[in-house]
Amino acid sequence: MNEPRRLHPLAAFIQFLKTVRELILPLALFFIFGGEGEGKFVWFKYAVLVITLLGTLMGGLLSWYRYTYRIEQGELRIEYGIFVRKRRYIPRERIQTIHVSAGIIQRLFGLVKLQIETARGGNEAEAVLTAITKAEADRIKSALLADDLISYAQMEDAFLRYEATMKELVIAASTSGSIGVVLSAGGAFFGQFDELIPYELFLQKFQQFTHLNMIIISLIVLFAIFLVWFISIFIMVAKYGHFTVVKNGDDLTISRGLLEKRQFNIPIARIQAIRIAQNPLRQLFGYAAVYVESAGGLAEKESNYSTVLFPLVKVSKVNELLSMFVPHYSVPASFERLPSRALRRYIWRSVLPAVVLLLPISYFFQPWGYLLLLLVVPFAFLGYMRFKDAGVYMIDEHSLSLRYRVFTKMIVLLRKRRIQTLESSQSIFQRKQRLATVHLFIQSGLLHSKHFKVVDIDEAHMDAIQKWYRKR
Amino acid sequence: MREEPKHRISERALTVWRISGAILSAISWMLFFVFVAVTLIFDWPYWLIMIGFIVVVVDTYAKIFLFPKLRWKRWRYEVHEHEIDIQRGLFIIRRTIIPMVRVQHVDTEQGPLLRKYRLATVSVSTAATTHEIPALDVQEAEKLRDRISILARVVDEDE
Repeated sequence: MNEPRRLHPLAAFIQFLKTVRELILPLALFFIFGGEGEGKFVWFKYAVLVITLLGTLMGGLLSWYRYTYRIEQGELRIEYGIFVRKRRYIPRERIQTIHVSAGIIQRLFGLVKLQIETARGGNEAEAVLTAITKAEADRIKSALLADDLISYAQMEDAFLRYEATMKELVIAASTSGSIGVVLSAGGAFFGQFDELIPYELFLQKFQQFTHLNMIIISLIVLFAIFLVWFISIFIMVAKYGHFTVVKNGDDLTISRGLLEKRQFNIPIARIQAIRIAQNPLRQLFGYAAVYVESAGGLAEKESNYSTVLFPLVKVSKVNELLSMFVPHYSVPASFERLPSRALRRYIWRSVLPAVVLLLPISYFFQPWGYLLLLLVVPFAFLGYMRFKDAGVYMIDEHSLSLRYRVFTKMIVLLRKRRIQTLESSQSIFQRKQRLATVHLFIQSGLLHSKHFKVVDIDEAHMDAIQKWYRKR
Repeated sequence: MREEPKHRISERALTVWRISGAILSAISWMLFFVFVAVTLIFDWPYWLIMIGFIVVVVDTYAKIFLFPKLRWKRWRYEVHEHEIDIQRGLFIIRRTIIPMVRVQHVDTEQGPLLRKYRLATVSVSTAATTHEIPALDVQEAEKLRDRISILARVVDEDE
């Protein structure tokens, strides 16, 4: 057990690839700006390239050769470094999570990557074993994890488990609105090659060919949009494929990913809030996505410390699932809506920016430009929807939930003891109408905060919320 | 709405705010003179200078007289046994409740300007947010800090 071991030799190759990836930019710069090649210079350029690659490969091999680990006296002891020897000892009591994943390269060889995290946090894991066999990973896990954790791991099957079906994932992906992201990313990507690829020429040839046939062009555009949509669906499904949530003891373990499997733990005690999001498309079909806001765990490497808990569920099933996985959180049947005098303010707030933006445009394109002002109607409708969906409800002494809409309808479930501060704000106009805005702050990650608000609730309701919050 | 918190911050805060307002408007005036010079050099219309002048005068008035006065009038706080209650704001009034169980630490701090007027700022931090009660008399600030830190020692029995 305690003789030093090396990683699988594949680790050397992975290290090599990693360094090459970092070197691509400087090398490319060197090639582009290294002067036009004349005679000797071309030779020199390629020599630099070959030497750099060989050096990197040697470096990868050496660092693999010098990297050893062993488990001794309840510690994971790692020694590494090519010229300067470094030692890192991690006592098993300090280890918080052991995270096993497999990238594409590891997968090809049936290997896994093992990351060890301690409470110290930070962006990188304390120890990363880039390529080891699965059996070896299990051996390390059982040697390092505290006994109670092992028993959980072994009894996993007896615990609660949720798995997203492929159908749900595809629906989730096709209604996610991520097509916009793919479109703009694609636009930016092709924009980069503007100077290399003669788009203009293509377009001209194309126009000659089709004789400016608008129908064909619009068909092609339509096809392109569909293609992008499919790509975005594929990306989402690859990211969230095999999505499972397992509840073992006090932790939720979420794993996902079709090509690269990712897994992380969220201690239930560190959950700060639950968010239920319904974009208009999903609302139409009665679906929602459920997110967890947490103050720690591996989820913090996700965006903004919030993580998908259930990618897509029927709204009617949300409470059932929540009660199984995160006790104490449930969506109330109704919300206390806003007083009707808030409606005018809601409509103004969404119409005004649109008018400010549209008025100058329509002025410049007279007289047809004024038709643009018709766009005010959908904005007014959005304002009405925002008004209709906004609300706060104190479920009981310990829980409160908010509902609001920006574009996506959002329900936030909060526990009193997770609300760090309560704030009310009132502008001069709000005061005249006896309305106020409620703000609730929660912890997000170790050092950050997140806040949720509902605008224009009744003053009397605000008083009731403050009273609820003061009561211990 | 519930009655306002009882205590006001020190009246000397007004002086401090006016001084820092004066420093800020001095910068505005400097920008204004640069603008005048540019206008003269490039022969832009003179009414631009008039508009600039009015803007800077209003800005100075607001920063030195109007805003400090309003802000001081609004600023109120009260430390109860179980929570800290803060009210502040210029045109939008904010009312904040910080439960003692959520308080993680309390500090007092003092910049050079505050020190000159024997003032200090008390700042209260929770796991998510930090709240400042600016410009209290030094002794009062220290008393308040000690009091909050004792009151904040309650355990969260809700667990």
